[in-house]
Amino acid sequence: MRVSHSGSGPLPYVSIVVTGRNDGYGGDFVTRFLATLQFNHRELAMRAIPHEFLLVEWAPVPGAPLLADLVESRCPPSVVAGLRAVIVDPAYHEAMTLNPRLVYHEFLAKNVGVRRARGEYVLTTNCDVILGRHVLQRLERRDLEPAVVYRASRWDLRATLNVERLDWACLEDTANLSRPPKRLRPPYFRGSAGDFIALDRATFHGLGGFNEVYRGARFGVDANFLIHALSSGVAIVDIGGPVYHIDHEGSYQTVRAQYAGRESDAHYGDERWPYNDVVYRNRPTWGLSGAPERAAGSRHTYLDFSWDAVPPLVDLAGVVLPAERGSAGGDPARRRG
Amino acid sequence: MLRRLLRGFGFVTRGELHVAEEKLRVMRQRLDKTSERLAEAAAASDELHQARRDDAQRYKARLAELESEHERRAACAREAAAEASQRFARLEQELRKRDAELEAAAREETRLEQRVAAAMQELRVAREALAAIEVKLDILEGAANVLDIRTRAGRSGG
Repeated sequence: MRVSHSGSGPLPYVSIVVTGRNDGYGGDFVTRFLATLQFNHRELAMRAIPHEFLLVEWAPVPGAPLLADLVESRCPPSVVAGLRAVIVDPAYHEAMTLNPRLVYHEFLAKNVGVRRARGEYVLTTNCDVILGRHVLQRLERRDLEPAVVYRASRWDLRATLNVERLDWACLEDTANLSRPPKRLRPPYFRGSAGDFIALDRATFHGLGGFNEVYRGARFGVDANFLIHALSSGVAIVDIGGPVYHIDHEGSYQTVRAQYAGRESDAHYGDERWPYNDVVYRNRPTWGLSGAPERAAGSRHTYLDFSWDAVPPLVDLAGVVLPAERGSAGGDPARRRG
Repeated sequence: MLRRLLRGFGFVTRGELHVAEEKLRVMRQRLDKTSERLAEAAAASDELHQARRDDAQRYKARLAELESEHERRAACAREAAAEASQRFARLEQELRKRDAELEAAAREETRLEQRVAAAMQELRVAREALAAIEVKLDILEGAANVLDIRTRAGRSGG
């Protein structure tokens, strides 16, 4: 196993794993990413919450500046110091995908970060998700419990908001909501789970991260993780407050209707795969833990391509049925005809 | 002295005789009146006795009527009681029968519930098994597509 946990200083309380690449996703991705990163870092630092940001650049676009480099050139030193970046060779995407239409394997990328996180707790989220005040308070109190998956509901804000001028008054003004927030419901607390899943690192590793066996979609993989967690006896709770997300073009909410009747063409994969009914057993090398690592400075790590690090294209033994369930079962309405 | 002596021989004076005769006359009058009253009282008593005898006669007749009515009603009550008793027995029997039917229905319901629960569990397991097969087929199909693309790219590249 060649996974490194590079980074200096005391271990952070929380590793915040985000993933992205400089491909203009959703419009001005870089601006949204940098503004969100700085806002979250400032609020975490103000509360003296030991943290690190772990940015996984999955299959970066050739010729485009790396997000990690943009952070270094455009953000204050304190933000730069709090960020580690792992840059994953695009060949891994090509070697691992089971769906040629899927342009970005968000959860394979998150697994790379989870596997390399140093924090006592790991929060997987997205580049443009702003941590809410209550979430920050919980982290400040450091009262998260091990073996509990923490979820937060996502409040979508109007796309017209200026992401570079965010403050609490703007975020918490319900007049800025673009749609009514959805309440998370037990037992799974599903709904935009990719935007907030926090869990202690040991349990996250024990569960083997997100599903790497089914690599035909990124849609539903977050919910599938929740089924997997509950099935494995790990509790799921609502952390008690929201995170915020500013609407942008190309998000699932805005493009879903385009794929009505041809769901299998969606760039996020066919949303009808039965992610509520099956779970998985990843290989021990999940998160590309066997990938050759090449350090570039103290904060950048490249994962060079090696077929040895790539899991088998087909691993049917890794598709397993849930061991135990909460009160809810799968959702027959989502099944393909 | 002489008067005392005469009185000793049972002689009285004329005055005394008149007084005595007057007393006697009054006494006789009183006796007559008393006799009249006694006769009246006897007549009244007879009349009262007659009235009482009449009353007793009436009461006796009424008592006989009431006894007869009581007897009639008692007979009716006995008849109703007997009928009610028979009906009660019939209803009790019916109730026992219905209780038995209800118990049988409850047992059947429990059995059906258990069958439904078992069927739902089997359905859930079957659905999950089907989902697992579906996912495996997706994986195989995806792998086939990817390999197809790689093969074609390799051929056109080589």
